[in-house]
Amino acid sequence: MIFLYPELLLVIFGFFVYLVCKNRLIQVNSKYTNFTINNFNFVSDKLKVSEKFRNSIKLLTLFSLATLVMLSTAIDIKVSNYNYYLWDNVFLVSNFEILLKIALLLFFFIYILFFCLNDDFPQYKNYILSQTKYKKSSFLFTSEFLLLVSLFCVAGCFFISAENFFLVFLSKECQTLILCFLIIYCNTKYSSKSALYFFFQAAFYSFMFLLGMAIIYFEIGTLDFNYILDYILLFKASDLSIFWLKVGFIFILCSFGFKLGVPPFNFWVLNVFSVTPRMVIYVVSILSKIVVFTFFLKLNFVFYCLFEFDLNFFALIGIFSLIYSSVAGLIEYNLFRIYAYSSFNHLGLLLLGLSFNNLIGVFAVLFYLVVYLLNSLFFLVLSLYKKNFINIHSFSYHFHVDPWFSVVFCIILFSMSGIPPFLGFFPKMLIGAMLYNYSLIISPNYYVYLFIFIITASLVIFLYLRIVRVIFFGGYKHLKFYNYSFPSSSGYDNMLVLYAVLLLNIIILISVGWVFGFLFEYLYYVY
Amino acid sequence: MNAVAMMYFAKVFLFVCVVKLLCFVLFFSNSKRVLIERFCTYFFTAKICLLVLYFVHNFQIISSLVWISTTFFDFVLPGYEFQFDGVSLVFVGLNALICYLCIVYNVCNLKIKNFYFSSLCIILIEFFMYFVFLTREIVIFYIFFEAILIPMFFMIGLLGSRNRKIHASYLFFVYTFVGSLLLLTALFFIIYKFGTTNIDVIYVLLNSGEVMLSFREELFIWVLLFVGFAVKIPMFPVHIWLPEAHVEAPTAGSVILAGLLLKLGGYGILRFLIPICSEVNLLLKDYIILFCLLAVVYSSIAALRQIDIKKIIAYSSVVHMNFGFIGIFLNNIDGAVSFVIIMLSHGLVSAGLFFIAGTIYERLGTRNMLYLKGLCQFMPLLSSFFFLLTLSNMSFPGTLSFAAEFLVIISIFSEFKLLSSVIIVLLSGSVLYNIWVVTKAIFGTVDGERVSILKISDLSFREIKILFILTALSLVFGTVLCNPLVEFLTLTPFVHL
Repeated sequence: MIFLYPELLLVIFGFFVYLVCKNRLIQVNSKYTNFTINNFNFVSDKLKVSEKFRNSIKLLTLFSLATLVMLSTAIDIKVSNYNYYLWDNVFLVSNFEILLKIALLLFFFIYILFFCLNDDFPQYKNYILSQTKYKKSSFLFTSEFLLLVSLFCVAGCFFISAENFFLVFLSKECQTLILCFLIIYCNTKYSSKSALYFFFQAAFYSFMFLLGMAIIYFEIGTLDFNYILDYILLFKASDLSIFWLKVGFIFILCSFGFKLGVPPFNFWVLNVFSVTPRMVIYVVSILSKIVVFTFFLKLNFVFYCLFEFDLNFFALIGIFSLIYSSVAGLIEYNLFRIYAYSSFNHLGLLLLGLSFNNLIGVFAVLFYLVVYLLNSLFFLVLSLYKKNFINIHSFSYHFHVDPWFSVVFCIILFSMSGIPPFLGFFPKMLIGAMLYNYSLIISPNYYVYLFIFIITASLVIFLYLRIVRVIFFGGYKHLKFYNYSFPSSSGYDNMLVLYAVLLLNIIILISVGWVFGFLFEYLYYVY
Repeated sequence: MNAVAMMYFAKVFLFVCVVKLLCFVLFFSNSKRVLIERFCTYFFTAKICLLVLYFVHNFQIISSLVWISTTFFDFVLPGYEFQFDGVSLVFVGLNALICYLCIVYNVCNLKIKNFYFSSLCIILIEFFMYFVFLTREIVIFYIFFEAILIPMFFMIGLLGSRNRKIHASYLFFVYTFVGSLLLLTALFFIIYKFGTTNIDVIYVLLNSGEVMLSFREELFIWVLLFVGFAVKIPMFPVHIWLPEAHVEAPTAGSVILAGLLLKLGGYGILRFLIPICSEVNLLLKDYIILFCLLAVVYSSIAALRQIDIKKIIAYSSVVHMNFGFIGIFLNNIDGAVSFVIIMLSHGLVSAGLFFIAGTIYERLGTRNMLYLKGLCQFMPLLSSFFFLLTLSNMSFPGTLSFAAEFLVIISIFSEFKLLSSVIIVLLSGSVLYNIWVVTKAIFGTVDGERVSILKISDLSFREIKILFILTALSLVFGTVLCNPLVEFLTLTPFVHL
C-alpha cells in the first residue's frame, strides 16, 4: 500500500530531517555561547558539526533514493491500470500520478545531494562581510530550509493527485507561500523586495484562480474534474455555458501561467532569478515546473473535448513567450537572467506542444520536459561549482583556467540551444515536425507558428553563444567591468556530474538510430 | 559488390573511426606531439588500407565478407543505414588524407596545449564527416552536417591569428546555422510526406508512384534545400562568410574549410536534392548554370583585387566550387562524375595552397602581396611547390583540375553549344590572378634593407612530405590514373541516373 503514496516517504524523510536538525540546534546553541570568547575556535567547531550534519543528511537522502528506485520498480510489476480515489473523489492515485510523483521526488533528492549541502550563500557579499548575518543564515538554513522544501514537495504531490479544483487551489497556495519564504530566506535588501513583489502578484493571480473557480462552480455546481467532464459530454451543455466554462478556464490558466513564469506573466521571474541563490532557483525552475505540467497534461486528458474547439490559448502564450525570450534576451549579461530567458523559450515550445491536444502531443511534451529538466539540472549544478559565476564577464577566458569545466558547460549550453549532436535537439525537432504536420493537416495557423519557431530558433542561439563566447574568446571590449581575478581551478565535489553530462550526450548520439526509428514509425503510423 | 558487403565495409570503417576518437580522448591527453602524430599515422594507414581493399574489390569481385560477424557491428552502430559507393569513396579518402596532413602540419607549428586542442577538433571534424559521407539517411546527414559547426567554430575563434577572428567565427556559425534551419524545415516536410528519410526508399516511392509530389510541393522542398546547401557551397550572394573565415582561421582550419567543408553543400545536392525534385531541376537548370557562371566571373574579378594570399585562394575556391556545381545540374553521368573529380582536385590543390600560405605567414609574418617578393631566392623548395600547385589551380594540362574542367566543358557542350565556348573564355580569368600571385611572390630580388630575410629557412621535412603528397596526387591523378578514376566513378550507381 505504501508503494502507492510516495508522499508518505517524503513525510517520513521530513520527520527524520527534523530530528537531526533538532540535535543540531542544541549543539550550535551551546557553541554559540563560546563564540564571544574565542572566534577561531567557534569557526572550526562549527565546520566539524556541519560536516557531521551533512553526512547524516547525505546518508538519509541516499537511503530515500534507494527506496524510491525500489518503489518505481515495484509499480511496474504490481500496479498496472490502477485507479484509486480517496476522500470523496478528491484525491486520485493512478499510474500517471505515481510516475510523476516519483519524478518529483527524484529531482528533490538530487536537489538535496547537490544543493542543500553546498552552501551557496557566499556568493552574496553581504554575507561574507557581516559575519554575524552569515552565521545566522547558515544556521537557519540547515535547520529549516530542508523542511520548507520538503513541504513544498508534499504540496506538489497533492497537486499532482488532485481531482478537484479546490485541492488544486489549496496546494497551489501552499506552494506559493513556501516559495515566498524561500525567496526571502537569504535576507538581503533585494531579496525581501522581490519576495514582496512576488507575494503581491501571487495574491492577484490566486484571486484570478478563485474567480475562474467561481465561474465554473456557477455554471456546473461542482468542482470535481470527472463531474465537469460528464456534464460536458453527457448532458450536452449549451453553448452559453460552454462559453462561460472557457472563460473560467482562461482565468485559471492565467494563474498557472504566472506560476510557471511564462510571458506575459513573467515579471517576477527575472527579479527572483537575479537575486536569490541557486538553491531557490532550482525550486522555482524545476520542482514547480514538473507539477504544473502534470496539471496541464491532466487538463489535456480530462478536458480534451473542451479544448478541441480552440486550443489557441496555449499556442498564443507559447508564441508570445518564444518571441519575447528570443528578442528581449539579447541584451542580458547576468547568467541567471539568461537562464530565465532560455526557460521562457523552452516553456513556449512546451506550451506549443500542449496545444496539439493529442497523444503524440503528450508524448512530445513529456519527452521535451524530461530533456529540459535534465539540462536545467546540469546547468545549475555546474554553475554551482563556480560561486561567483553570476555576471558572465567575470568568467572571460575561463577556458584557459579550467578547460574541462568550460567544455562541459559549453556542451550543456549547446544542448539547451538545440544544436544537433546533443540531447536538446531531438525533442525540439519532434515539436517542429509536429508543428509542420499540424500546419498541413489541421489548421493553417500553424504555418505562422512554424515560421516563428524557425526564426526564434535562430535568434535564441545568440543567448547561449554569448556565454560560450565569453568563456572561450574573452569578453566584450566596450564593457569595462572585467574581473580577471579567477578562482583557481578547484577540484569538483562530484566529477560525477561532468561524466553524466558527457555520457548522456554521447549515448544519445550513438543510439540516435534507435530513437529516430522509433519516433518515425510512431509518427508514420499515427498519421 | 553487393549492397550488404558495401554496408559492412562502411560499418567496419566507421568502427575504426570510433576507436580512433575514443583512443585519442582517453589515452593521448598528455602525450608528446610526435606520439600523437604516430598514432594518427597508424589509423590513417588502416583507413587507407580499407579504402584500397574496397577499390580492389569493386574491380574484381573476390568474395563477400562473411567473416565479419553481423551482430557485433549492428550493436556498435545501431539503426544507422550506411553505405559505401564510389562517390563516398572519393570523399572519404580525401577526408582521411587532409585531416591527417593537418595534424602532421601542426606538429611543428603549434604549441603543445594548442596542438592537443586543435588535433581534438580535427579528429572530431573527421569523425563527423565520415558519418556525413557514408549515410543514406537525411536526418543523420543533417545531424552530423551541423555537428561539424561546433569544432570549426572553436577552431576559428580560439586558434585564429588576428583580431577579427571572433567576428569571423560568428559569421561562419550564423550563416551556416540559418542555412541548416532551412534544411530542417525541408526535413519536416520530407518526414511528413514520405514517412522515411532514407533516400533510396524515397526514390523508390517516388518512381513507383506511391507518393506523388505536386509541383508546388516540389518547388517548396527545392527552394529550402537549395538555399540551405548554397550557403555551404557557397553561391554568389551568400559567400561572404567564406573569405572572412579563411583569413581569420589557422592554417589547419582553412585547409579543412576549403578541402572538406565546402564539399558538403555540393555533396548534399547530388545525393538528396536531385533525386527528390527532378522536375523542378529540369525547369530551373538553365538559370542555375547561368547563376554559377556569374559567380565564377564575379569571384575571379574579385580575386584580382585582393592583396591577402588567403583571400585570393578563398575566392579561387569559390570559382572552383561554382564551376563544379554546373556539372551536377546537367543531369547526365558525365556531369556528376566531373563534379566529383572537381571536388577531389580542388580538395588537393586548395589544401596545398593554404599550407603554403600558412608557411609563408609563419616564416615571414605577413601574407600581404604588397610585401612579398623574391621567395625564390631563399625558399626554392617552397616556391617550386607553390608554382606547381598554382599551375593545377588554374587547370594546366596534365593536372587533375584540367581533366575535371575538361569533363565539365564536354558535358556542357552536349547541351549548350554556344555557352561552352563562352565558358572557355571566362576561364582565362583564373589564369590571370594565379599568374599574378605567383610572379609577384616568387620572382624579383631581395635587396637593400631586407637582406636579413635571406636567412629564413626553407621547408622542413614534414612540410615537404605534406606538399609532395598533395602535388604528386594531383599530378598522378591528372595523367596516369585519370582514366581508371573516371571509369571507376562512371561505374558507381548514382541514385538519380
